Amino acid sequence: MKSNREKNILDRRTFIKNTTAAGVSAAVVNGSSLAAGMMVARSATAAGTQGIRRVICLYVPDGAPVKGKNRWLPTGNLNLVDTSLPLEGVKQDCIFFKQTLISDKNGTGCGGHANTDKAFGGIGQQSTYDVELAKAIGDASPFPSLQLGIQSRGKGGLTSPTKKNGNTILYENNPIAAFNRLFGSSGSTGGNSGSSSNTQLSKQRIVDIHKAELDALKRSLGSAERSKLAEHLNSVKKLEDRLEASMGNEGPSACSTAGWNSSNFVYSATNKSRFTREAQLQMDTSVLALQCNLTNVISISLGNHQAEQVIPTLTHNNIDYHKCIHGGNINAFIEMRAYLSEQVAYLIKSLKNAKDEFGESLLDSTLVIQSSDMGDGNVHSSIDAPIMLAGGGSSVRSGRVISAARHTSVFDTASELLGVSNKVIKYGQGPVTGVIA
Amino acid sequence: MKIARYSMRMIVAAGAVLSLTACVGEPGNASSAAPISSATTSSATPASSIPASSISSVASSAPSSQTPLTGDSVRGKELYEGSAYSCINCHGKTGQSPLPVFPNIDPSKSELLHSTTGNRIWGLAEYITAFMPAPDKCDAQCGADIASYIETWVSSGSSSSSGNAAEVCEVDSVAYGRRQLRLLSRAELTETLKDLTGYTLKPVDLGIPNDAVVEGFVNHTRSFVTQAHYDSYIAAAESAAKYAESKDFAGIIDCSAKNLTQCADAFTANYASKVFRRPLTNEEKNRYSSIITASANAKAGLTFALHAILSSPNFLYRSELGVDVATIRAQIDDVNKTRQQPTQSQGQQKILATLEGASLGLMNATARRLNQNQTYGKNVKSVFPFSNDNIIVVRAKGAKVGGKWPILELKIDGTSIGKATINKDTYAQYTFKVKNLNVQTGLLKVQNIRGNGSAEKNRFVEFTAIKFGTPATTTTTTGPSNTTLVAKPSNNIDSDAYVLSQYELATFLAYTFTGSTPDNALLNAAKNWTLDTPDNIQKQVTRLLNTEKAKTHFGNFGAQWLHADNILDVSKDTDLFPDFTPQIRDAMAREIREIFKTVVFDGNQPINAIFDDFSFLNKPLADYYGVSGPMNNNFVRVNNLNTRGGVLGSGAFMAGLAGLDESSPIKRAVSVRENLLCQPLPPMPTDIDSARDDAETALQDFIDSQGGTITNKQNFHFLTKDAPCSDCHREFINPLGFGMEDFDAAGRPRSKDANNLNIDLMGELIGTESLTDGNVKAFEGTMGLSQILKDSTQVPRCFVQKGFRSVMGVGHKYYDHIAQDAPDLSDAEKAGYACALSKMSDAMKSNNMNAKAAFEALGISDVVRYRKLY
Repeated sequence: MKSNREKNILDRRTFIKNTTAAGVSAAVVNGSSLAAGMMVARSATAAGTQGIRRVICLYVPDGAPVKGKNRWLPTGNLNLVDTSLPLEGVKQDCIFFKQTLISDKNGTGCGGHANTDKAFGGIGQQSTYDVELAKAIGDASPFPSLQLGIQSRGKGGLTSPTKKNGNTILYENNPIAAFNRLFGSSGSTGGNSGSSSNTQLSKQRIVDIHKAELDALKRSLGSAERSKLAEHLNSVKKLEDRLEASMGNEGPSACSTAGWNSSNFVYSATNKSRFTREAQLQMDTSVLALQCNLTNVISISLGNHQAEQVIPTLTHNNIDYHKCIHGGNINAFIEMRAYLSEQVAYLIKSLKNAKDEFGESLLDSTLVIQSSDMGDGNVHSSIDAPIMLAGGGSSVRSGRVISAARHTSVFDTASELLGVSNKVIKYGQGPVTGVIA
Repeated sequence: MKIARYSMRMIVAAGAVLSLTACVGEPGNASSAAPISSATTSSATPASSIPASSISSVASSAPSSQTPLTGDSVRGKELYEGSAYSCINCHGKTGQSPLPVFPNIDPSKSELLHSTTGNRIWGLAEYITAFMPAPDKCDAQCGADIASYIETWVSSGSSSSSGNAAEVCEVDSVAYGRRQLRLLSRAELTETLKDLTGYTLKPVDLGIPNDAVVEGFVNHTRSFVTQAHYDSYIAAAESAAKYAESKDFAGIIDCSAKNLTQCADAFTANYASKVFRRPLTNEEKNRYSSIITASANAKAGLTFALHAILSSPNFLYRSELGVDVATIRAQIDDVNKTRQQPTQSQGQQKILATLEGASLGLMNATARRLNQNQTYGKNVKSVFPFSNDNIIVVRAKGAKVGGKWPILELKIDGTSIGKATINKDTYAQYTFKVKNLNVQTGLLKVQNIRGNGSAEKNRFVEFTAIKFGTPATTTTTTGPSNTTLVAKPSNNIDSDAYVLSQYELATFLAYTFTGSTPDNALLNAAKNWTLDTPDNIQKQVTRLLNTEKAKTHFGNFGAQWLHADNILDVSKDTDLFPDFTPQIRDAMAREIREIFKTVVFDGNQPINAIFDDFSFLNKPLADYYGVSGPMNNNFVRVNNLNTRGGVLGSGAFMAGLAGLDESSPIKRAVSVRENLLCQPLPPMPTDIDSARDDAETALQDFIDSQGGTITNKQNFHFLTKDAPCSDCHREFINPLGFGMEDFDAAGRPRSKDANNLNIDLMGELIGTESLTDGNVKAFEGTMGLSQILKDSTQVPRCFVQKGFRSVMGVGHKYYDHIAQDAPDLSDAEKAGYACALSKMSDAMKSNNMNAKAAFEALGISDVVRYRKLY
């Protein structure tokens, strides 16, 4: 068991190696803005180890139509039903959990609206699973974690599935801004020349100044505000890490972002009619981010619990999702929930088709955990929640339907598969039986 | 008219029937529920087969011989308040139920009866286990824990409190706000960057994270800077810096005639203190100076310095940390001492009589010569009336001989009044003081005496005039005439309190009243320490409220309060409503802001005027509504609209709180309850016990029975008529919402719906002050409801609460009533806030219920100036 200091050094070395290998280029930083200009991932050489090393936590709001006749859970023979049909092409890569309860820390059911962080294990805990995971493995990445949303901002508060130290963490809904933060607004390969090392050094100064200012501020504070500033300081240091790692790195490009948003989608926060396009862009960005080793922990929020999206391409294209669920029209609920499964399928397929630096399918080294805040969306129940695990390659016994008493145990399963069970707190009852090969 | 219904304050022991289907979970899904101890369940009846309404078979097992378990009240509180059982939703935080269908819990009762078990006496823990929230949901340990928690209410005396204890405001008590850092919101950051650099930030494009919203208002009192935040701030600062560079830093600094050091000094002394909203310390100045001085040129240096300073934590956080009371008192003492420092002012000497020319006996000569040892004498009593304090000034020059200058001595009546060395060969004035000399004869003798040097006849003095007068006086004054002493915090401020510094207060006032950074006048007021008393602060508040910025800012407050911006992204059926364009949406968002703004700022209107039948429309919106008057794109006031108008009858309210094709009586009713009346409804229950698969069939059957079409009202009634939904819908939501059905989903009045069915206008507001007061007010249509709200005393009360929350970043009773991780407020904190609220209300009452008065009262109140670490 390594000491914290040793762990930090190791993580830091891994981090430098990762970003070096990923080829975070100084030249790139010179481009647009300090953080947004991080054109990353040039080198094809291996950085980290093989095996399962990344997790995508995917929140699909409002459960599924499962009460009475369960229209999500496949049969024992893996015959898919109404709302899981779209996963046909990837079902062998998935484990579908049955009789799963959306539960709190103690195993009591807590499904329903509000306190959405329940989806990622937040009830009874200070932070959700994705946050704890990022704490454990995030230091080794240029971006310890990402939170990408698709219309994830519901009315009223508490609509985010992620929580850190008791505070809601909101997701980035603008796919363009999310991409730019990671890859720069130029977005294309080929660095910019220029006085890059000068710019590097001077930008390091900004970070130094902010660190000094935060230290000075901290001295006059009570503990709540001090922990706020500690987070702030971490954020500044993370940028500093990226800057340091990017100094003097050049290399051939292998992680290309060309082709992203080829239709030049322009985002508008008030135009809610383009859910599909936004979802696909965010998922494309996720795949790229993993491929380029920019991060290993991604959280995606596919809508929000208030469910006000309308999907123009559906038959029921003039009802928002909420009304689909509660309006007494089971077919509307089914069609919309199936649509959401299509988006999930898109993600899994994209991961499957993408290759990592070892030439392996990204899906083999990634776990996708689909979670929710409810079992049946119409009655806000806790039981029979549509929880699913995809990916993991041969380490996972995929293509099955397995019982999992609590959804929180699926997170524990992920910790086990990543080999971080001793670093991340237990959320449920430990790994679900029958998942790990 | 009070509704006759069973008593709201039912005591369980009276044996009344409880509605067990309300707030109830599924009747035991055996695989998921916690294991049930055998003592409480009848092994004969498997839990899953029990229909909710039939309890007797479970209750027939009598656990009266069960050994009591030890309850853990801490765990019990978690269970009581947690979302698994949600006892708190139905029974209230300390047993005061927000709903009439649920009895209050009397924590001192240890013997309970239940209607289905005759005379059998239950202990509290057993009762909970057996019946709450449904059989087999909460096991024996769970029951014991919750019972143990409920028992703690007795010792805290909450059984006797109505939950309103915090609303009593003690006279002379001081209210303390929270000591905190607040991150700038998206809007604040945008306005501030605009004011400081001219740059227009597009937060969504740059990935500035969404604002945290608590209870409907933007609230960054607990937000921290995540990596996404920091990356975006860096990007924003860089963009702003580049913009400033492109404009040659106009409005920021002019370094064209300065070298790098001078430029750096000017930057850190002036502009930087505007960014930090306070003067910089020397350390801080050095950091930014060295950026500039190390750069190739001023342009590069300034761009870089701006990039750094506009993403600095000292810029990003509004500080409400304050200075501890003792230090502030000492600082004020220093300032006051400086203001009282006596200053010496030199008056001028006054010459009252002169001997020169003829009166000096000079005919043709210009000067009288005195060789060494020579004397000039004259009786000067008639020339000048000597008093106690006089001067004699001699205009003379001398000749230096043998290395020495002549010495002049004056005597009056034989008394020497002084010697002076005449040490110039050009004329100069030599002054002699005559003090306290009783001049009798008045014989003046002016003699060129021999000093220490050799006797030299030619060591002469020549003089041209002898003047007599009064000396310059030294007067002592106590500082500049317009100085007042700074008021110190009064003695009843607690020693563990903090006082906002002048600059922090300036910042608070600026963002509260204008939504942006303090202007020069405010910063100067802080510098001169004139934000020290309520009266002085009021002057600034009044000034700020008169700005255009303030009007826009309060328009946005109104929009948050009324959730107006739903209108911008709510989905609509474009086939049904083809003229509901983005322009109409924008116009509606503007309309409701203008309605609110005029009531706040124009004249001295009461807040409830927001319900009058007027509006602000431009031509496109007027055409959309079928109203005449407005001629172009400018928004103008239109009165007497009759069927629409006010915030309720506005597009943003009606179309924003509606679905794609039909209105949403539920959303509208909930909005009235929660936003206008401050009557929060319990959250939707979880684990609703209904087989919803049948709901669709039942609904279709009903529609068929009505001839194939039903109204929106019929639809929503049908979907909510059963327990547990009906507990809230039947009284608090549906009658209220159904009375607003005279507005369609696109915000226009109607008497028939899309299926040509008549709209039933009748509605009822049940619970006019609090949800459970039993008052009922019937009304007809939206404007009927508007009239009720216009007369309501609860609306202004609620407005004050919302205003307080928006400004202070916390509610007066809670931070967030649903979030599991929300901090609790202590009784002392709540008591202070109650006082602040009553000041706001009193100010409104003294000002025709005008909204501005409430905000002014808050701005000058002690809850703003004095802070504590809660």
